[in-house]
Amino acid sequence: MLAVTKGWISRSEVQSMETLHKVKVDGRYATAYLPQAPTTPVFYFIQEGSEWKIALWKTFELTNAAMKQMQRESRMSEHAFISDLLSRVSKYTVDEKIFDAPLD
Amino acid sequence: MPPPPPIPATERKPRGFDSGLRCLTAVFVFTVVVRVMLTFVTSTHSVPLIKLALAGVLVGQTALLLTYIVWSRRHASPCPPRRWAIIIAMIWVSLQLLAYFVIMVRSFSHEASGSRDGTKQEIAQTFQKYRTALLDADGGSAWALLDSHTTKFYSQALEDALSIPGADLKRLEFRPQVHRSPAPSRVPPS
Repeated sequence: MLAVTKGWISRSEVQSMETLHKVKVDGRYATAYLPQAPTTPVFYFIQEGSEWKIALWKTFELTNAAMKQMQRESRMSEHAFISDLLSRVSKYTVDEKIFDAPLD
Repeated sequence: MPPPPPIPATERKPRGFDSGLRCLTAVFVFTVVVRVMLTFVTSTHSVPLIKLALAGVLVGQTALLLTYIVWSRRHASPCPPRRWAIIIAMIWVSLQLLAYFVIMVRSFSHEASGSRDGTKQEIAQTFQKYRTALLDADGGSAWALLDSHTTKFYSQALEDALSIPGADLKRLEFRPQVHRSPAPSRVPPS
């Protein structure tokens, strides 16, 4: 909620996801594909009560792998990469001191 | 060898309303009843139609079985049922059975595909609402569209970001580490 309100979510990324390409429903669960990646499920949905909700946690594994790949390509250490990522997203200078959390 | 004695001619009794005619009448009544009930079910793909067709299939099967039992037990008796009535009854009820079975399967597939399409629309709507919330930076609306497991995860991540000891943070996997890193909003601007 904080990330969305603060505008840390990439607007151009969201804008590029105009519509769902394909939706597969399996009981209370559903997977959705985007036109730009028609073979990889990008969104997962789950029916809670009468409403369909987005199950973002199911994509964490996928994004984790993507981030690891990006980190390897950047040739930065894991912590340096995370600090850099947080700096770029939040527009604050974030250094590796954050791993000495908690902050006072 | 002497020829066998002639079979004495016996006068055949009138069969009247025999079991063959009774079967035929039962099938006719069954057809009329289902036809009348069909007039109350107007939709071509609805649950009542599926129920009615299912009842038609079950009653039809029973009628077919009973007609067969009547024929197999009585056709060799001194007063057998009318063969033509039994044959018509069996063909009639078989055709009805087939018709109700087709109605049931078609209604069911219509119903299933209809509900699937409706579900896909609901999912697409959820996605569009979420996208709009992200573009409008409306965190509250986006949060409301996430499932309970995700919201629980993020709540815990925020709590950890504010309190997790550094040693524990370093032990986490990649993405949880990102989520649980102290919120950048708390880092003083450079």
